[in-house]
Amino acid sequence: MRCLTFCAGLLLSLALAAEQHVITVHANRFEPAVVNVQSGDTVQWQVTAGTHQISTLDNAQQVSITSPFLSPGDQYTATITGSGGEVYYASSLDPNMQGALVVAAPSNPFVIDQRINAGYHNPATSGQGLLFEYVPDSGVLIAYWFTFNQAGDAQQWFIATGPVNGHQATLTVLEPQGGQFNTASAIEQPQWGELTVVFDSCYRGRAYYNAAGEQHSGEFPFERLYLAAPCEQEATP
Amino acid sequence: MRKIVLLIALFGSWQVLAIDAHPGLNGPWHQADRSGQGLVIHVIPDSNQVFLAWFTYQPSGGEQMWLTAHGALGSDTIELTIYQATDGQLNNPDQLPTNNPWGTGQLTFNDCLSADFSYSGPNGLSGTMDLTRVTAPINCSEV
Repeated sequence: MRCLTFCAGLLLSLALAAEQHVITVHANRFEPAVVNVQSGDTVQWQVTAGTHQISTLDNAQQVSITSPFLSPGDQYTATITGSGGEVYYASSLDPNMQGALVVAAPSNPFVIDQRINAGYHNPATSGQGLLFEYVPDSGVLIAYWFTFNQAGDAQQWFIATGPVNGHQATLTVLEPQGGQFNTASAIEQPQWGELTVVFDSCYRGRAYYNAAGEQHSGEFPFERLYLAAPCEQEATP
Repeated sequence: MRKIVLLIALFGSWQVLAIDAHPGLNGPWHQADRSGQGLVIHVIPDSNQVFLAWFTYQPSGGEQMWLTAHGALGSDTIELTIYQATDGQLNNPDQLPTNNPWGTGQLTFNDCLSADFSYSGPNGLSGTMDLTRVTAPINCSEV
């Protein structure tokens, strides 16, 4: 019995042990560009080409990292702590060379599925919003995001897709361009950035975005604009 | 007389019948030969409304444009009022957009996978779209 308790405790402690994540720093990119971490994990950047000083951008997680200048063969390790959200970092070699650490939010039993399929917005910025669609066949979350550009002088919309991980998902954000109103035309879909969404429930959550090319990031809460049957059924005693 | 009745019955069977709008129809729709733009449609029985966001581009081409629309449920063809928001800024509560009437539209769901959409906007801009689903519908009923 004692062994059973000890073994269970050992297994639990192993499961909760901090992980180390390795990111390879090439001359012009981080690999992988997005790494999912738990608070307390360590991240090690290993430089293979170029000379880089790696620094975090301003973030809500209040993670602040500035490495020394690293040459090929050098490595730098940091412990990441946060309460859930994205931490972006860049190389001094090229400010457009960016990567992201997605810090897992505290445990939440809610799991993203088709219950979240509805329209959401931030009440403080009404007039723009997100339509979420969870696709059961593929387990992919799609966000249709209608908003405006950073300059504030034009409309802008995005399609973001990515796999679901419990109650959160990190999505690749594409910015379709070059089309013409209700006309068959060639479309380009360059990547604008990344969007991490963390759902508290099928009624509300928080979004974290980063436009690497525009060197712009931000976050906002979102609330469901209207009910739908699955979410109502869940709320019924 | 019997022939006329038969012809009317046959003609009637060729008509595309509309199905009731319900949340099983919710999701992305587009005209297949105009991919890269489309509508995300949400049927909201609680408020007896249809809401849609139309992701497209400027008539002159190149620049993105999006419109929103809503209309009341209750008839096979849903009459929509279409709006265009201007002067907003990404995630900025200090620069809220203005929502301006853009035009009108009509939406009819033929079945779970096809719908007809027509619109009339500013400067004589009008047209139709033969919509098909982009992703598979969830719990859709063709009643």
